[in-house]
Amino acid sequence: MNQPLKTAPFPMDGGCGHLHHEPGDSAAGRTGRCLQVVFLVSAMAMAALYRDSEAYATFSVIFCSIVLEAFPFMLLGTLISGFIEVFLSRDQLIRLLPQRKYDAIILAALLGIIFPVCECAIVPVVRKFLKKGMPLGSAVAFLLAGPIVNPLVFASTYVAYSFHFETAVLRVMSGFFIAVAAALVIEVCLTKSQALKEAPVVPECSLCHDTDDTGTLSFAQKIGAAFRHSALDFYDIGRFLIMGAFIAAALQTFVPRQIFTSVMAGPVTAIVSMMVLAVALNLCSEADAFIAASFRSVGIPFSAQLAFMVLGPMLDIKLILMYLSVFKGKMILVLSSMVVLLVFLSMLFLEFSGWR
Amino acid sequence: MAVNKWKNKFSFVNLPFLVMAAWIITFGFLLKDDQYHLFLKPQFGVLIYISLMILTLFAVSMFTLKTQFRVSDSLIKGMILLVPVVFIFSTGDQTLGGFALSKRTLTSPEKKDPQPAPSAVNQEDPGTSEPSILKLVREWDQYQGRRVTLEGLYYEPREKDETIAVVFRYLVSCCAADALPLGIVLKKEGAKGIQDNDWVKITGVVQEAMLDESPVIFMTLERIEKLPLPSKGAVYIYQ
Repeated sequence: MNQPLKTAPFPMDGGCGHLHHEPGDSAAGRTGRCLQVVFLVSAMAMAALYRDSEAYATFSVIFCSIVLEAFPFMLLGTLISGFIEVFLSRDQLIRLLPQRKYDAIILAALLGIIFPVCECAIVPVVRKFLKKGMPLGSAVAFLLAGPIVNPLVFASTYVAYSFHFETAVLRVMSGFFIAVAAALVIEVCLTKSQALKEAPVVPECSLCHDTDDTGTLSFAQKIGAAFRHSALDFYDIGRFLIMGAFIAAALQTFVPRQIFTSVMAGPVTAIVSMMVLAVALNLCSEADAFIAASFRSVGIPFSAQLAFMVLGPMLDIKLILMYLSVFKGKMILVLSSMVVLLVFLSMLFLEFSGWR
Repeated sequence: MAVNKWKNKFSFVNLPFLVMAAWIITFGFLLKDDQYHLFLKPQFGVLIYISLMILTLFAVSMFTLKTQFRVSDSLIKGMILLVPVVFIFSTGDQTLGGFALSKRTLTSPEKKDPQPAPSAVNQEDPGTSEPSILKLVREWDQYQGRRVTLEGLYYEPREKDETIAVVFRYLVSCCAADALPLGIVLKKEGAKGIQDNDWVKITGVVQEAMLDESPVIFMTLERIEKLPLPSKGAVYIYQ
């Protein structure tokens, strides 16, 4: 019953805080724990030694901004995940999804329209959906498309690009097609056991894991259980957001943006540079259009701006770290490569098709 | 043996509750005197209230949870969650300044033919306008060649050209991480006694000029005065 997670560099609790297993006893687990301790020591040393420098103030403002902007959405995401855990059974979820897996992928990619969540909120929700039996391809489609194919992102892009309708539509459509393509490939190439972290199974824990047996609980008890799950999900996943935000803030503080624009003489290098920038900056999908639009004035091609807006919500440093709470390393590698390749090829096609 | 004893003792401490309580205090601090304006746009105050509400519910649920927490992982998770709290309190009232400007300034990769810096002022005297930097940039056609008065942070970007200075503010869409600098360039010889990150009011005629082979808004400085920072978040213009 109390099996160590052999493949987990960042050991995860089952989500309820009980003593299920001794995580991190494997070599990967110890490495993950060491990395987290190194992060903690570095952060504290920075706060203690460089507090009076302007670089520290800049770093601190950016770091806290990223965390404070993402925190509410992450809290909402974990709150939703806790309620899914308690109130949605495996059977109910399976009944809600179309039987044909390709139809399910397309439906999942469009879920953001009625369920608008940003990339920080979506990871805990997807984690819960997968645990409840959602097919891998559908979960990936929702994970990638959700932060782009939603009305809030459409509106922010529309405003940022001076009410240019086509830009907002193109962004949403690119996000949708790239997410569906990546999901189809992953559905075909990987199984759930190859992709997902193993969750410890503890039959006697009735308020966590599979809660199909919550039928015996009163409504008030279920609400309490949902909050406890949500709180522990947050306690478990929050660190990934913080470590990602820390790295992103360091990049924003110390790496001049001009480095990226200085290598953007041609469209191909511009697309690549803007993709690197999207991964490095870790901006919210509802704010990144304003940054992308600012690159218009310095002559960056539209395809590169779009690459920035499509890749960022699907893949950035904090997201890669948050994906560690759901997927195995191999899956993250495949997913990241797939997304990068698809975005690059799509934007290259857009550039050479002459769309401006 | 001693370590195990310590672990057993410590495992009874409800770490998730303590961490959530620390965050609740932090959100209270951010809401007091609108401290969160240093990080987020004012309209996002509602997000802070939502976070506070959810965290309070989480903390209550953790307080009532009768369980033991594994000390090793739980402690690391909790401490990582507290890292931003340390940074929020240690930041004080500081905002983005000249250091961030030096990393965020963008110029076009397509170089244009260099043009001489403006020397002549418009012959007509159209009077002095007082637009915000945002208005000046957005409605540049209306202000080109006119005398304007502006307020902003002063900074001398030594890495580019030792003879110039900039007066700027940041345009924030959501949070300080997405802040874009908006400013104008001037010759620093007319700004004696002004230090980096001082809040200044400047008057002069604005024209387009070339800097490092890229177009910039240039002011022929007529007057500059140092002022106290009007408010904590004055550096930011919220979109």
